[in-house]
Amino acid sequence: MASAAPLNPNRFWLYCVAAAVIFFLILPIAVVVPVSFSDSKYLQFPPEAYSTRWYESYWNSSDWLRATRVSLTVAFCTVLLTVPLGTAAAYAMTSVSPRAARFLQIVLLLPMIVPGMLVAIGIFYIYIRFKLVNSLIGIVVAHTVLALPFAVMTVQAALQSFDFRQEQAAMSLGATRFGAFFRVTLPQIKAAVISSGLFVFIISLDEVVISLFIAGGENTVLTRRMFVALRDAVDPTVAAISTLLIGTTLLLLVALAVTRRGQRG
Amino acid sequence: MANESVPISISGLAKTYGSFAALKDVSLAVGAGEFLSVLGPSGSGKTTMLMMLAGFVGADRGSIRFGGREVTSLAPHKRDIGMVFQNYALFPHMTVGENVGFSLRYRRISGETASGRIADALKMVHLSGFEGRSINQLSGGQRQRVALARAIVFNPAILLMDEPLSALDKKLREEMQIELRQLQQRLGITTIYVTHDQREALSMSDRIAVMNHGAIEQIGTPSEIYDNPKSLFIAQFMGESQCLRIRTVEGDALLGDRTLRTRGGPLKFGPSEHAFLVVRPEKLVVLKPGESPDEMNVLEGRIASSLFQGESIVLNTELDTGDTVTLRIASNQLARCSLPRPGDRVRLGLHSHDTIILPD
Repeated sequence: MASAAPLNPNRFWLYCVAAAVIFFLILPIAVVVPVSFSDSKYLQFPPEAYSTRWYESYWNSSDWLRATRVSLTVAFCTVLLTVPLGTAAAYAMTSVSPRAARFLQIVLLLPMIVPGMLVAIGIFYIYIRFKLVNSLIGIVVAHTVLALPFAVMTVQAALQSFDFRQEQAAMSLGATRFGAFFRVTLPQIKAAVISSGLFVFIISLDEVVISLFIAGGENTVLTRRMFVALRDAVDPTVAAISTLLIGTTLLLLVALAVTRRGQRG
Repeated sequence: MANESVPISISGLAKTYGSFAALKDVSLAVGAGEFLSVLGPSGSGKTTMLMMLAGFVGADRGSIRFGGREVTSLAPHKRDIGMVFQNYALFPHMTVGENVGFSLRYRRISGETASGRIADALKMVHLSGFEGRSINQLSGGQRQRVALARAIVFNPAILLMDEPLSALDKKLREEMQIELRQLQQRLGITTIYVTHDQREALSMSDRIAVMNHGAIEQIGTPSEIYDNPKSLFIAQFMGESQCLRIRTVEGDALLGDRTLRTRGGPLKFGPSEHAFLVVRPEKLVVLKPGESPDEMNVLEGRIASSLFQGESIVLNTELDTGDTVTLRIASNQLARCSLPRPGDRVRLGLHSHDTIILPD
């Protein structure tokens, strides 16, 4: 690692901008976390008294807990669907012609390029026709569409440095193409596959826009439930849940960093 | 307990990528237990042919047979060939033992039989006891040996090698050439060895196939290829060759106004056809004054420069015809005593058997 460069006075404004960016990124967390521990019935900052009553309120609400269960189930199923698909897509792009690979790349990245709202409306209209609105499978498929580009890109990066002659070697030694992939290729891109899974989990867990359209009723996900709660009555329970979500995401990011390090070593 | 070695026969093999003909109608027969080198510049089709033999590239036309077995469209894992790759393609997430034993599971060999086979293969490449090492701990030469052990452990009938020594330094490469050749002869395994290093091909092979533009330009024993090239391309590709333009008049080859003695009879060239005299530096000798043996062609000229290269001395000579030739003289006391100096007039001898005349 390069040693830290001394502060350069000519870059004063650059430092100011950087500080402002960091400040505004951290600000919401700095507000939400204290508010979640407030004793007040309203969202109040800074809180006058502290308590964990809003965490208890969350824990004692079957409504909130069901939404949490739905969110976790959706995120888990999305990982199960997205990771194999993303890995297969990334792999496919290494074995087709460069032109076909470029085309596939664009198609796979479309959900990232198209505004989320448009995707949500499109999915909503299709789901009405197929009676998939508010169904678990519908939400999982929609989240898979959204998360796929990230999974593909993560695995693609790992495959870029993989030497495919190893697969040829495995085949010459008696492995089928499938066997070569599972015994030779997959173990070497394992870290990237795992980190793509963590990534996908976070994306699904945090997703709001599409969930607002298609994840209601029985299968209301946590983010949608929070949105509704904020609209109806301002309740610090939302702050408590947000804090829990931030904590979970941070944990997953740490896990991601650990697997990335393993991948490099 | 090696498998019986099998001959390979390729006929009319062709492969086109878009408008580029990688392989044009190649036919080739390799004898059982033979070591055949495939030599050629990059893009000559040698790697394409090897990939087709291994089954990684499909043929547009033609057929490949291993012994009596037609394998043209057989999947790679069913071909039973050992293969050594240019960069070895070892599996870095496995130990040396796991790498070598990879093929055994597909042949239902496990437990002690498998460990015995792995140990035997490692012994053959002088890496006994390396089973537990990780690939990252090995030197380039050791990796090469592991790749070789992995390719022979299951007693394949055929061994394919794609420039296996090109990543090693010169000294190690020369050692490995000898070792590889000895191992191949001991196992009696039919081997196709792709290389762009002509010296390697000359020193290791039973026969060499020289490829150019997707076709085999000449095939023969190392000395046939070196001493009797069929084309200017072969002459220039194999060894150092100097091509002097000559005139052909009524079946005679003329350099300047001298008629050249050649090994064959009269030349079969038309009167206006261009032809070249191919001279290799080690074939020329400096003649003593007055000496003019019968079988020698004599080229007269003046020494332009002399270069000491350790094991040999290189003399650049300007011939009276205006051509320049280089000759190589072994660097020993006897040669040094009579060595001409720059500016000296010399008479160079070229034996008629070493006089190669080729059409343009």
